Amino acid sequence: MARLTDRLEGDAFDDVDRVCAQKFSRHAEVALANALRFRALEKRSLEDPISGAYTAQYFQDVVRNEIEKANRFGRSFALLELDLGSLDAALREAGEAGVQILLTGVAEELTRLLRAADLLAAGGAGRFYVLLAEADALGAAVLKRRALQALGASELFTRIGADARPDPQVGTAVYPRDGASLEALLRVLDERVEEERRSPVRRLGLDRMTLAEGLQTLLEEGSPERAETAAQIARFVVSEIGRRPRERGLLYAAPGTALIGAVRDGLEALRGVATRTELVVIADGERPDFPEPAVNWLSPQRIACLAPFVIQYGDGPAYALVRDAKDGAGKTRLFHTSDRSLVEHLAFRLQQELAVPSHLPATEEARA
Amino acid sequence: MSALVLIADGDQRRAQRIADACRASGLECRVTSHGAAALETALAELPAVLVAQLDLPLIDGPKLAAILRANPRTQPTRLLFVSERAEAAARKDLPGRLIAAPVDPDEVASGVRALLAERDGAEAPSEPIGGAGIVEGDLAQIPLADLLQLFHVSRETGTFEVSRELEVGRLARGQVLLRGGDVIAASVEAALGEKALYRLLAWDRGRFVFRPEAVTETATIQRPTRALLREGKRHVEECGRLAVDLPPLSAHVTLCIQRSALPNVIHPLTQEVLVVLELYSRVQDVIDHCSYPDYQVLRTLHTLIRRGMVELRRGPGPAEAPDTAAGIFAPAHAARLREWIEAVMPRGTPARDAKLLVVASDAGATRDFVRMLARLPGVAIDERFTTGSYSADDLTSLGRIAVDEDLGIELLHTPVAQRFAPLWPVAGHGALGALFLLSGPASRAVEAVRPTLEALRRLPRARTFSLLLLEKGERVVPEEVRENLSLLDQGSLFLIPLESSEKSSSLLREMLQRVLP
Repeated sequence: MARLTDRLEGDAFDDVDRVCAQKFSRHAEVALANALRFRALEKRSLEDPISGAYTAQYFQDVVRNEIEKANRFGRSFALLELDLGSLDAALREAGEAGVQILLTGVAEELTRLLRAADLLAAGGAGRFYVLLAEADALGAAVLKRRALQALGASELFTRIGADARPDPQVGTAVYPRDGASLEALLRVLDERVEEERRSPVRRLGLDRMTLAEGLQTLLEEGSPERAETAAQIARFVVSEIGRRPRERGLLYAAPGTALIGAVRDGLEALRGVATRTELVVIADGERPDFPEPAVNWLSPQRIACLAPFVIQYGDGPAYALVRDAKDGAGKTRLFHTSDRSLVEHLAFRLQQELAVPSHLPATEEARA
Repeated sequence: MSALVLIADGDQRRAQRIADACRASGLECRVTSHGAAALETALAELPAVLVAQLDLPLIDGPKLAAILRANPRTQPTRLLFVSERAEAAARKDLPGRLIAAPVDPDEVASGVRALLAERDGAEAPSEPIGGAGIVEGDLAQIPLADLLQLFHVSRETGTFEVSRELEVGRLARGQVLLRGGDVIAASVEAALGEKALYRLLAWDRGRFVFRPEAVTETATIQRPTRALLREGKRHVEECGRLAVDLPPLSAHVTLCIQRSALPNVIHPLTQEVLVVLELYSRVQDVIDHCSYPDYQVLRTLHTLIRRGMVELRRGPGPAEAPDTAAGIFAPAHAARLREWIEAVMPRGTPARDAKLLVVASDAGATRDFVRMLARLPGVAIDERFTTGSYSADDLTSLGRIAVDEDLGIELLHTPVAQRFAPLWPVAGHGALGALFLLSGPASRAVEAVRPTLEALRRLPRARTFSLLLLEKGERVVPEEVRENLSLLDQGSLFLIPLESSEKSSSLLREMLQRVLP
């Protein structure tokens, strides 16, 4: 509707004006109707009819474009795959309409967590994909935790019987670290989802344990090693942060008396390096005297019962080491892993349980 | 067909007089009495010239002009304003000529003719010659990229022939084939495909002729036309920006390091340039004989020159390869390594040594390797390895090789036992590569390192090198090596006879040079 008032010259509208307005409105009506029809048509071809998210085809086109952009400007982005697993039991219990409500609800839950620049797409068979523009591994991991938390608490899941309830798994991949093409990234996503299913977190039931119980359980899986081996590894892992300071990540170390010397040596190698990894050390004594990099030095009082550990998670490979608290130079029990989902679980459980502060934003900042 | 003139004037009698004067010059005219009708007609019929009354009813002349200018379809329409107010003659803000009262229709018609002549001068390509649809013109007036874009939008099929005088009496000719508006093939002299197209897009002078005709040739260019034009524009712009740095076409270039000193993983473009460099030395010849676009070849040559791998001579004649045999590493090696390290370091952060993993099939291999390494200049071995007090499970520095005064390679002894598997990706992340030391029967040695080798190979940009250490009198069984070649990349396998210290040092030196990026 167009409303014409107050002719510019101040006179009343005359016949010429009316003819003109009629002609204009007829054209405008046709143009508007065509535009709306076109938009609806376009949207329908881009939207998954069940969940309302974008289609996998559109997602793939966008990711291909994103690869070109990221390539040109030297940036990264992350992809996330949420797999609800088999929906057969849910289908039997809730029927087709119930599963449709579930899928629409999952899409809505995920959309709530995304930024305007992110894109959600439905991959069919209970799978969803998210493109996280300019995000890195840590940003993707943060969204993954939030998504699983939101879905776990959502009525969408809790109202379905425990036996029929979907078992969502999330895999993440980062361009270009995990693959330089769409196909490679999708393959990594599928592998990561499978890794999540086979993860020790599930096998050992770590997600139902406290951090202290979890570390103890892991130690039982470990093997006897020289005390020096654990110290060498701890020193190496900490000092390696200085070799690639542009990578963003988290490093948590609770060295106890057994690994404190090694961790201090490792930190010394970082002196003066402006790293993007957040360093958190939970130990007695004084923090290193250098201003850069900043080390968040926390009292061990808050985690008195924990075994000594070093956990590193971020853009590079994930790694965690736990050893028993026994001092001395003899044999010690050591567990270590590069299983991404296990390390991620430990890092985020530490943050959550001990309220270890993190100042890192969920997405990657513009690279210097 | 004559050009259309649209006359928009609230004074209908004056409008008719102007129209009569224009028609008398053979021009086709439309007359409207207010701005809205003029706009509608302009959008529908795309007039060559609009004669608009300054105080046109509904939408005045300047506003109408602004609307038409904003629309790409009506942007080329030339404008002429008329006004019954004599004082309007002083206005300087109009996007066209103004004829103020008294308005003489003949003067207006003459003004219209002048505008049409001006337009025809600027739009030479639209002037048909010889036959229907043939377009020709000067590239100095309209660049090839603009023409291709225009013809892409209108989905033309036909052949563009372009020519340019390179020097007196020597004409370069090129051809671009369009099918349905898409560029499907291009050639200029010996260059074909995208390379030819990008070269033609850089021509800023010359003649062109477009002939609409069926194109039956097989497409040699697959990339979408818009992407081609974007890329071509980038090449032209970057070539212009880097003109001072890029090697001149008449200069000569020569590879000044030994081929064995080249890294074993090279971008295909660089690889091709290096091969062509063996045959040609003039920059123009190197460009002509590479299949990649001219700009990319020039950039590669520029990088190779900057890294000290290629020498540039502005005068004629190939340069002799300089002797780079002094020390383990030449300055060019150090420059490459520094560049590689600095790529991952924030600006202003001191460069840290690069890391090279050393993975041994057994303790004897480590011992022999350390002994050989210690003979090379600039090598410092960690005490526990000189005294033999190390353990196979150690994850620690084995030593350091100086590359220049303050940059070096740290050798990281990496345990090979399966229980250290979680460490391998962390150790290999961001490493220059991994060096596998194999001693004893090859199959047994390979089996010992196989899990580590496979894990490290899976890392992005992984590079592995293998040293098969041969005891005195020991000979390699060809079948055994062949069996393991799928695992040990043939290009990075070194057979080192321990009995000859001179030969082993020379091979080790060569291997270390190849480890550098």
